[in-house]
Amino acid sequence: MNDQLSYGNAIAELENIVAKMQRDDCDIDNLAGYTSRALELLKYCKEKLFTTDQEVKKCLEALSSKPE
Amino acid sequence: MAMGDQGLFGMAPAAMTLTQFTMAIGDAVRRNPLLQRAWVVAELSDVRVSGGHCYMELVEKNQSGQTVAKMRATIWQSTFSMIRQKFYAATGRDIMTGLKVMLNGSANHHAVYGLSFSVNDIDPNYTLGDMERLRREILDRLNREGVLGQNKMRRMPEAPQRIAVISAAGAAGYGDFMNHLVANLEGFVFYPVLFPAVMQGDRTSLSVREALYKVAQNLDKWDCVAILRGGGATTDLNGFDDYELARAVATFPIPVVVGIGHERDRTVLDEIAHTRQKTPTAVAAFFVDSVRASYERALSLVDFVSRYTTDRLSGEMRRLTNCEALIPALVDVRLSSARSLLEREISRIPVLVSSRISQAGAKLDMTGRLLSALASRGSQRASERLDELTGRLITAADTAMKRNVARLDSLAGMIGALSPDNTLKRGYSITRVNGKAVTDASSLKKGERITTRLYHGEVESEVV
Repeated sequence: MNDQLSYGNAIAELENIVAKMQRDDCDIDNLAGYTSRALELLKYCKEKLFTTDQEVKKCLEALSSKPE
Repeated sequence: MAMGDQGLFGMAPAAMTLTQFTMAIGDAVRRNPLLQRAWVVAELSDVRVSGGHCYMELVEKNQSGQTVAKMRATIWQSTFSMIRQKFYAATGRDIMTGLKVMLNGSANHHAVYGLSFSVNDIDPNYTLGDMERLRREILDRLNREGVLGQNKMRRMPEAPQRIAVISAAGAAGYGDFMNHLVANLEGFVFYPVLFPAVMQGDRTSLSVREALYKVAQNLDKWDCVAILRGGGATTDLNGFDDYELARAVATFPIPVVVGIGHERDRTVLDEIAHTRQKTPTAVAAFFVDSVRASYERALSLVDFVSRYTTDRLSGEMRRLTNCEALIPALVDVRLSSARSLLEREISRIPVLVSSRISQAGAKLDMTGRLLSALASRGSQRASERLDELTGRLITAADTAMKRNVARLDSLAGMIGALSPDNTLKRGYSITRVNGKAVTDASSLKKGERITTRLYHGEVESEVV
């Protein structure tokens, strides 16, 4: 998954996929792609929400332990 | 005056002891109905509780903040807890320095401690009104400066997980918040970091503003800020109704969530923060709920995608099946229409043929007439040519006939030489059994009848 993705972007992309599917000209050829991308995005969201992000944690620990 | 006058006339002045004098003051104070059970408005200062009694100074300041009146006051233990509870229930504040209050009480004069105000009741509505006026002033000013609604306009991230918490480290409110946040049932992950601040009293505004400043140093590390009161049953919220602090929160670049209020009371921060919750626990619940809502949204979107895909595919499948069912019928229709077209064409053929024939007949008649006309013109020349041809044909036939007769004669000579008759004439015979020529005597059986052909006649005999 790319580095630019944030939780907000992931949800927005999901919404975009749904919007595309709601259009009348939604192509059957794209369905498999949409579905796998949706699952990929969901996996990313889950990771963001349920799994401790070591990078963020390290960052914040460094911040809070900074002497004042 | 009267005493002085007496003195002038040489009478010994009637001096009182200090005790007598102070008692006299005390009596005067006690007897003056204006000074007993009177309602007085004042600002509280130096409030302190000792031995169950509450001691304080009542002050009045002029417009420029100078003290123009001051008096000691006491709420005795017998009434203090009642007054305190009543006041807190109505205002969400403890009786604290800085509050403007309306007190009912009486003036007392003590021989040693002097004049003081003994409180026996309080009217919280006055304080509420005063707090409201103060808040109104702050909000009006922020509004004039165009920053009032700024923090409310900030966008709260989809899933607020990185939370800069401004609270007092050891305070119950902070503990409640952390417990609720970390122990969420779903197992959502949060990254709260505490920026300690003084959360009550005069230093609140400056301390919280300093903490906000620290948060702002690494703004990209945070989704939002949570300002949580210290907690405990009685908390002084006065520090939060402060213009400088209110402005700092209103103009803060990321959303600020506050959990400092009270059931029946709102501070200025409650009005201007992005999100207002009643307690620190409610703030934690707000974060958990936000993340849950966002997660459920993601789930429902993915659910839509998978349902849509399934529905769409089965829909297409139905389309295909329909086509499959439709095609034979369509083929039938097309075939039968083609057949009827063909039949119609065929039925037209006899008519066409007869019309062609009659056309051709007419043409032939015309040609015949043309021919006979031509023939009568050229018949003379033709009969001359015919005679010539006939003559040549007879000559050719005669020649061919003579050649063939000669050839036949030579063939007949050759055939005559080969004939068995000539051989039989020379004395040879042919023996036959049942019409078949016998060439081997051993093939004959005893008693078998044989026929022998001679040049003239045949002989029947029996093998012995």
